[in-house]
This record gives sequence, structure tokens and C-alpha cells, in this order.
Amino acid sequence: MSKEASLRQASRHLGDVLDAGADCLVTPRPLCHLNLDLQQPLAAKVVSRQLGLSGAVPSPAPRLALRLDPEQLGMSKHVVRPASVIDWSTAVVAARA
Amino acid sequence: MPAGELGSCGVRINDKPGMACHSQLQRAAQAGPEGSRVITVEPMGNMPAIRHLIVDVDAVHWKKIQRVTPWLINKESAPARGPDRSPAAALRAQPVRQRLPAAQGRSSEHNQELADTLNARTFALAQQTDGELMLNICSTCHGRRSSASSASTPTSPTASRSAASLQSEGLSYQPALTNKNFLWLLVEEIGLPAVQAKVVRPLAGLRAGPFYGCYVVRPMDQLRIDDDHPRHRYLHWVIEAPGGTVVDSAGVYSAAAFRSSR
Repeated sequence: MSKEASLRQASRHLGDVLDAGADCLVTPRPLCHLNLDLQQPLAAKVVSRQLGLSGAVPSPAPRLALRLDPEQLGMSKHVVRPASVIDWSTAVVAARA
Repeated sequence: MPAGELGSCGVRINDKPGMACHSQLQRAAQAGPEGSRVITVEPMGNMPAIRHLIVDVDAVHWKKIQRVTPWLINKESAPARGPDRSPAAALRAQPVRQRLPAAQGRSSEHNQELADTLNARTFALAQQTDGELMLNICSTCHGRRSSASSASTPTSPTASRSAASLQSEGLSYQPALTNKNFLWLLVEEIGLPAVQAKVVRPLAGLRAGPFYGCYVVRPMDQLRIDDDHPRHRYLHWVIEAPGGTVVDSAGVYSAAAFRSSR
């Protein structure tokens, strides 16, 4: 698959989730996560749209609810900082205001 | 005629050059003289015929190739034989330093038999432990391994060759291993009530869009997604169990279009 086609498709999925009003996207597949997080800045550039949607593999979602440390879950390594999901000042899950 | 060489089955079929390996009799008969349904097969016309359909490829093809000076010339003499690329050789090259190899579902992009054999080897190693099932964190690995598991059934044409390759390492795989991904484990083995019981701070107010990706929901029959196992809903449940809100979108079951080439 060409780079541009891949980025356009990724941006469409991210845009759909954003348009539906989500704070974040949750995927069980590491490769999907890699594409939708790592490539997100490039995908945004291709379609000239600000995306900034945080992605997470499913294990962190319940683990955050169990109050495990987001740092330990590797969520600080995401390209798109999961600011809508985590209040990094206290490092606990923060609901949308 | 050299066997197993691309183009070596070239013949003239009803006066037209073609490859015998993928010429269909019905189509060839239709292309014959009007209404005759006769198929005439002759040796290729651009090389001297040795006998019947056998032509002297060396006299033309290889003679021409030998006239060409390659751009890169190896300073060392050619090895006696090429490297052994059989599945058995690939297995020998794999380090057997751990009970379970790194979590990687072998892909079929290059060689299906090799991929199936390497996956069957992973199953065989897993069966040497007292574990009850194999857990995959990655749905791609899980999907590939489910596919390999199907390929390892006794009816599979490659199964006996895979089994022979494994035998060279003293391994054997009995197709009975339960193969699950992490999402299934959470729902089916641990159970969402157990997850909910441990929730300290509910994800109340968090709106999450599920994105399954293609491998975790396709093919549905191979992954045994049915009324008893609605595995295409598990991610929804995992979001809802700790108090999150599911936000569905058009791409919920789409592929992420992972770019494998530049």
C-alpha cells in the first residue's frame, strides 16, 4: 500500500472517531495502534486536518481504572500525548470536563 | 527440458506460444481450428527441437546469457551449492534458547509453508509446557497462528511436510492448542465482573471509540465468532466494564491500513 493511501485511510478512521465525539480510540491490535498513533501527525498533514486523537491498546483502559501508573503502562511513549485521557499533573485518569 | 524453471514449459498451442502450466484445455480447444476442438501442441519455434516437445534451451537462451558481462562480478569463486532455504533449514537456524519463542505470528507474505511450519513449531514448544492455552497480545500474531493451526490439520497438503520438518528437531504438534488473544482472555477466562470488582476509579465520562482492526474479527469462521462467542463485541464490553462510554464510528471494524512498504 502506498504511503499516501495509508495515511489517508488512517486519517479517515481517526476523523470518524473524532467526529463521533470520542476522547480517545481503543484498539486491541498493536500494529493498528502503531499506525494510528505513530503516523497520526503525518496523516493529519496529508488531509490538512488537526487530529490529535489519543490511541490506546485495550489493556491500559481497564488498568487505568484499576489506578495503575500510566507511566508504567507506557502511555508516556505515545506520539499523540493522551492528554484527554490522563491528567498528567496527578497521573490519574481524568474524565472530560 | 529443465524442470522447475520458469518458462521451461513454453510450447506452441494451436500455433500460438503459451505456457503449458497455466493453459486451460477448454480455452485451448476453443482457440483451435473452427469447430474442430483439436489442440495441437508443438515445441517452441525459436529453439532447436531435441525430441517431441523438448527444445535445446542452452543453444539459444543460455548462449545469449553467457555473452552478457554482468555489472557486478563476484571476486570469490561461486559456492558449490546455494544456501538451503527449506523450512527444515530455517528451523535449524532458529535458536532454541527459550521454551516459548518471542511473540511473533509468522507471516505468510513470503512462504506459506515456512510460515505454517514456524507457527506449528511455536505450538509444539507451547505444548511441551503445562500451559492450558496460548495467549497472544497481538491480534495479527493471533490471526496468523489461528490460520497456521488450521493449516496444521491432517488434511492440509503441507501438514505432512511441516510435521517432517518439526521431527528433525524432535518436535511434534497435535492440533489441539487453544489460541486466544488478550481481549478474549479478559472476557472469557478472567471475566469482566472480576475486572469490574477491581475498579478503583471508574472511567466515568471517558468516551472511547473502539477500533478492532481487521485481524481480530476476520475471518469470522476461523476465529469462531458466533452467538456463543460474540468476540466482535468484546472491545465494546472492555470499554464499558470499567465505566467508559462506547462511541461507535464508521471504521470500527476497518483495517488501519498499516503501511508495509515505503
